Amino acid sequence: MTRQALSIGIIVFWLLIAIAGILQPPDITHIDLQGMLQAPTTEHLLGQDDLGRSQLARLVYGARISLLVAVAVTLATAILGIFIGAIAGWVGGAVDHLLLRLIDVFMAFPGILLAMALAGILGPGISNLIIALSVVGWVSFARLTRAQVFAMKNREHVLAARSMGVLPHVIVLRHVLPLISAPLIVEATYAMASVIIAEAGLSFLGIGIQPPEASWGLMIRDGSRYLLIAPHMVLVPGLALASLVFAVNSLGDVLRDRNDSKMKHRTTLHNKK
Amino acid sequence: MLSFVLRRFFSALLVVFSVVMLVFFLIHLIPGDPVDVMLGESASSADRRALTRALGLDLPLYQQLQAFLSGLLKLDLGNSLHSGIAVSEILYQRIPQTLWLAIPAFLLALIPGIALGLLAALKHNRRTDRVLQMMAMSGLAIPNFLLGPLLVLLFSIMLGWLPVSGNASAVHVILPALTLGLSMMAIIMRMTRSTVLEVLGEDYIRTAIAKGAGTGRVVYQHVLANTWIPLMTVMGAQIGALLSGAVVTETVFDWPGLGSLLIESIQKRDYPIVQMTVLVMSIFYVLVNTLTDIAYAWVDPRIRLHD
Repeated sequence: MTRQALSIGIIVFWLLIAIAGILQPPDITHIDLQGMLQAPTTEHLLGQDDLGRSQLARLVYGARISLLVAVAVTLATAILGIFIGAIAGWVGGAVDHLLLRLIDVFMAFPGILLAMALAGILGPGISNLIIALSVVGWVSFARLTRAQVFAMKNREHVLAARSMGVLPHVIVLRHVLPLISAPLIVEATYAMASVIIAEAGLSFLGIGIQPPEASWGLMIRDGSRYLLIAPHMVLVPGLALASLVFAVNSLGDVLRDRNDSKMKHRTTLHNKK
Repeated sequence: MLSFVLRRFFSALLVVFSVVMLVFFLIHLIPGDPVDVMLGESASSADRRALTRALGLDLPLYQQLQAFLSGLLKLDLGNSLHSGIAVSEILYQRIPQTLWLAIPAFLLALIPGIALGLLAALKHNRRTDRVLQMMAMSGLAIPNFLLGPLLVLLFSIMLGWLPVSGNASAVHVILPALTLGLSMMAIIMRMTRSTVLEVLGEDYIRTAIAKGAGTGRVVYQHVLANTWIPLMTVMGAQIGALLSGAVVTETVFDWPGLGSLLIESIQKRDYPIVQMTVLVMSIFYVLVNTLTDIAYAWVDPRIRLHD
């Protein structure tokens, strides 16, 4: 319970920071060469970077980028993956076989590598970054949905709906998806953590968010050149990134454990009957 | 068994072929004319024509594909757009460097990862388990590109024990291998822990304990023997994390391997190198996974009979 409260607290904190950054856009490009590489002071609470820009302002802006990309990519991959997985699981037969082959090909390929190549080839920018990460991210949702839909297909309430002539997409949306939402939400939580790392990673490598914009990964990249004299340039965005990923991952663990114990409970009840 | 091996190899070939096609079409995915993208708007028309011809982009698509495939079969991987050096020669120089980094990192992740995971599972829900779990969660939350600079800050700058970057001597491999290995260690530890916990819940473990077998005997003969197999397949998938981790780690430490080559050539828009680096990494990944699948089936007959 405390762990859950802690992770939700951290996520809400960064969410509020991101929203604050939208309502009151920070000045992330104001250059102050006098304050170059300045460690935290009362005027600049988190210090200044190699061009004397405010680390606080860039951190706030970075929170927005990180969460925006995470939410956009997770939504896009979840919708695409659930759509493909539901078709494969529901229709079955040759369609399922074909889609399963497609999933296999994507699984048999280190996704982030493809995302790197795609992001590099599509060119820099936030929308290309979202596209590149979405192209490779849908597979896990598709696999999960396929297996779950397959298992649900012959449940009594689904058979009843089918015999009453309810259209397939209505059955899947109204009678199947709500029942399999718990594992999908767990999957989405983990996916979000890995997208946050992937965005920061690609920006760190120079193929994601481009300067003069700000992203936590980009800040770590800039900072790693000045480790000797200005370690705060890495520590500030590093702590932000690690705390957010930690919180999202442990929220995933909490949700998964709760879901697992619910499932176990269900099967034991079933066996007793 | 033979039919299982043949089927696995056939599906691996299919995947490799799909990757080859994907890699071929990567260059055609670029919105607009790739020549414009490579040379910029201001290039002279002579230069553009020369590059178009060099890339074979003036030919019809099926001829380009044909040339690409026959080049691959002859191991002629094209030349770097930048330096003109044969891509195969560049890869030949870079691949050993990546292995020299990845193998120590993998061992570093594997051995302590399994040991600590086993320990955490045996001490399930006790303090040792909680501490180890917390460490693993922190390991997962600190990606390579953050861990690398942090390790440099600690060991090179504050303590002055290890070099910052480069690959001049054996000492240089320590920090990059730690960077690459530690986060993988966290993943392997978590996987081992959950696999062992599952095995511990099995009836045969209860029977063994009821028969009066000592803890050591139960762990070695019953738990480990049944943990190895599921763990092995998940480990194969970790090769993907190893490869993408290598890309980041090599960039952090200026390590002249395949990963830094990929990033350099993406930035220079040197597409023949990008294509081939992605291809080499994918083939390696598919190969390792196919071999683990086969090893898995060889050890556990249930798999090859079921599949």
